[in-house]
Amino acid sequence: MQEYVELQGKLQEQLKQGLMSLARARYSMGGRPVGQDQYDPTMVATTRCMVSPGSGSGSGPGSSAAGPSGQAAGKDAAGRRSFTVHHIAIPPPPACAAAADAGDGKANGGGGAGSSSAAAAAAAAAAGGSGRGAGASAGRTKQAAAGKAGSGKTGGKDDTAGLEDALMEELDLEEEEEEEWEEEAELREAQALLRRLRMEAEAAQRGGAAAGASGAGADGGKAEGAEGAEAEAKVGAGLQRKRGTRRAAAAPRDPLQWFGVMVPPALREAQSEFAAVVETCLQLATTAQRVRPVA
Amino acid sequence: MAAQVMNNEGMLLAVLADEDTITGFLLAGVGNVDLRKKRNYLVVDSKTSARAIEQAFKEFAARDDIAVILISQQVAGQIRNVIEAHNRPIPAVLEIPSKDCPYDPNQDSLLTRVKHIAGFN
Repeated sequence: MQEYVELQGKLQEQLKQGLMSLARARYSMGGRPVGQDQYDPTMVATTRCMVSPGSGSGSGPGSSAAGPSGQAAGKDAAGRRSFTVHHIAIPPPPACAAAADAGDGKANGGGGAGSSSAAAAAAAAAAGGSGRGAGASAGRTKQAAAGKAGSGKTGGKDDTAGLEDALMEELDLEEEEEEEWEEEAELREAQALLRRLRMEAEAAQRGGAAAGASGAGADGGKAEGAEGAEAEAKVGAGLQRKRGTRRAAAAPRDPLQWFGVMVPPALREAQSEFAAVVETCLQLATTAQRVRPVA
Repeated sequence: MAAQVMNNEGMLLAVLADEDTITGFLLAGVGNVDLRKKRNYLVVDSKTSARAIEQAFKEFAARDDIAVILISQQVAGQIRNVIEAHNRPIPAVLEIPSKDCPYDPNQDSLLTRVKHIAGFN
């Protein structure tokens, strides 16, 4: 129990240092905010924890495969569990992917661009879907177009983004590299394709209002064209590629990137300090398991 | 259940704290938003109601992919009764100091529980 209180003291120190670094970073970043608005909505945890049971307990719901960091921990008394940190490596993105992500990031940042990305994503989905079955994809495009034309722009984007993400789970990362290179080349064709698709969808649904909006949207940002290029590539080469680029967005990225490309060193320090905080927290959790009455 | 956890290569940590603390933890790679847009953190500020905090805590406790819930002492004070009612070993609940107030062992529900048991002996 003494250990618990000592660890808490240590945790407090580390937390204080981490927060100080964060404050310093915020100061040196000047106008750019550092806060929850910068969080990536598709973030994936890279720091997880393995729970290994003590020697006595059987396969409890918390037990996990012996990861590399799990071995050191499992020495507790029977029935007690211990927690260890398990880091998932972040795949280093190729240079093009980083640029594409930055492009995507800009598109998402702009308010007006949001709906166009939704339409682009829907169009991409539609384009991809045509290889499989026109009915489903057409339905999706219409739904997205309707969502866009109506007031729920962000809602539509979330839906399609959710669909995309769900699709991506099945994907291969290798595809993404080829894709990046082709993107640039097919940019213009993709934009034309997008416009055509939008027109078709809208003609099927309503009048010119949506078409006008989508036209403006299409011109609005190159990143949307990039997504359209993905659509093109996919139609040409099959579903796999498109999902590949999307996959890049969903694969674990370094959270430092959320705050810009060039981050102040204070932010990096904050990151490593908080990583230490997480370690201490897990040690505390392990100690707490020992201290608490057996449950 | 166990198989699902193994595939994920580890379980998540949930965090309920003020914005800066959460930003720090997210920088360390703790944050996760899954396919259903469920987050494993909750930013608590002056406008957050105790009810919302309670609900978030119960959600985290019910999820089977969360191993540890980190909660800052200030926030813990607001939902003290819910925390004390939480009896299961997984997910483990851990109180961390808040940005503004230093760690107070008298408030930590874990220690008070231990003291009860030890004290009456």
